Amino acid sequence: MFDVCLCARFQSCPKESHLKAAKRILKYMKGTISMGLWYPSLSAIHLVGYSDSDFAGFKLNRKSTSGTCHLLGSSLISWHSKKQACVALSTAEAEYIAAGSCCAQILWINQQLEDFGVKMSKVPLLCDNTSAINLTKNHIQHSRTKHIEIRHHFIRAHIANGDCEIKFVSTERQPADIFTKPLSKDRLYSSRNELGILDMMLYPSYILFCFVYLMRQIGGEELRKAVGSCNVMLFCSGFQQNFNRLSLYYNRLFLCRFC
Amino acid sequence: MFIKKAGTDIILVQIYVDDIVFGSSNVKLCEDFVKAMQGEFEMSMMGELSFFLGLQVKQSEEGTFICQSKYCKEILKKFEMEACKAATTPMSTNCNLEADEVGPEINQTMYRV
Repeated sequence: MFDVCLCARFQSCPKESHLKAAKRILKYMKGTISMGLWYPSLSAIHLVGYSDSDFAGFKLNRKSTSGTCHLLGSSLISWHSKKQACVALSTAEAEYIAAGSCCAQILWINQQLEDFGVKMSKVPLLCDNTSAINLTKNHIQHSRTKHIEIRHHFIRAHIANGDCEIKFVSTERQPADIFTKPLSKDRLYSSRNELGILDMMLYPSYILFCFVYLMRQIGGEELRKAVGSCNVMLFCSGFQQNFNRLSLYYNRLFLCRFC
Repeated sequence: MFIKKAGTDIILVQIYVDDIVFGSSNVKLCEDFVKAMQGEFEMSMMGELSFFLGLQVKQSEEGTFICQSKYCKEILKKFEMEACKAATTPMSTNCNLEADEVGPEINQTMYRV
């Protein structure tokens, strides 16, 4: 997603280097033809928003890119990757702007959910920058932040209202990373798994569901490592062997969650 | 989008130009909707959702899977890249795209339809 957006910025006067990048995307697509979004039917309905940004990543005018994604239970329902409209002076500022657009999207999704008869307040918004989080809570304007435009401050009001609730998440557990910068293979694969983007050819669906669910809920180091290192295939065969034990574990978790 | 609530049940109807998608927590509401629509307009019922707005949808007991395999194949065919080697990531991590003013130009019109 990010890569396509980056290439699209050079549409007006493309050179060979840009064409090469575009070709790489098509080559990646070739390897991911059978991948898609998986929406498990038994996942709980709780909305989570993730926001992330890279700082001054665009070499041309040093603007930052914000990336956000929203998960309902374990299903990815909305995402975006966008170059920010103004130049940010610090990572905190870039993250703050990203969190603002994430908050706006949460409000909209909340409205939609209300139409379906689901009401939610204090939606968690996960951000990986503590300074940005403090900015949303602290109303004191100091020299480093007083220039931030008023429209970016609307997130404060919504946090004070209790519409959403900002929390910290470590960069390793931040799936929105995928929308802000080119990732290494390991990071890309683990982010993809976390977002529920899976290859249907590889996994039978039930195992798939357990797999995603376990990954997201426990986040056990071993599971994360196995998924992060690209040995997904190997891991899966191991997974099938341990399937009975894991499914017991899974059932217990599942029951705790829904009772 | 249209929503109808009957007790605890709910039916959602989404219309996009001439396509309609609907779903309900109760099968009976769906059946009633189909009857009402077919009585009023001339339209065909395609059955369970499998293709909508270019997205392929597979539904099962455990969940729903959405992918764009067909679209991907079409694009690869269009650019004659079906036989290319697959890349593991869409972009290398040290890739810094710039305006690249000195780089060789490419013929833009070649790629226009």
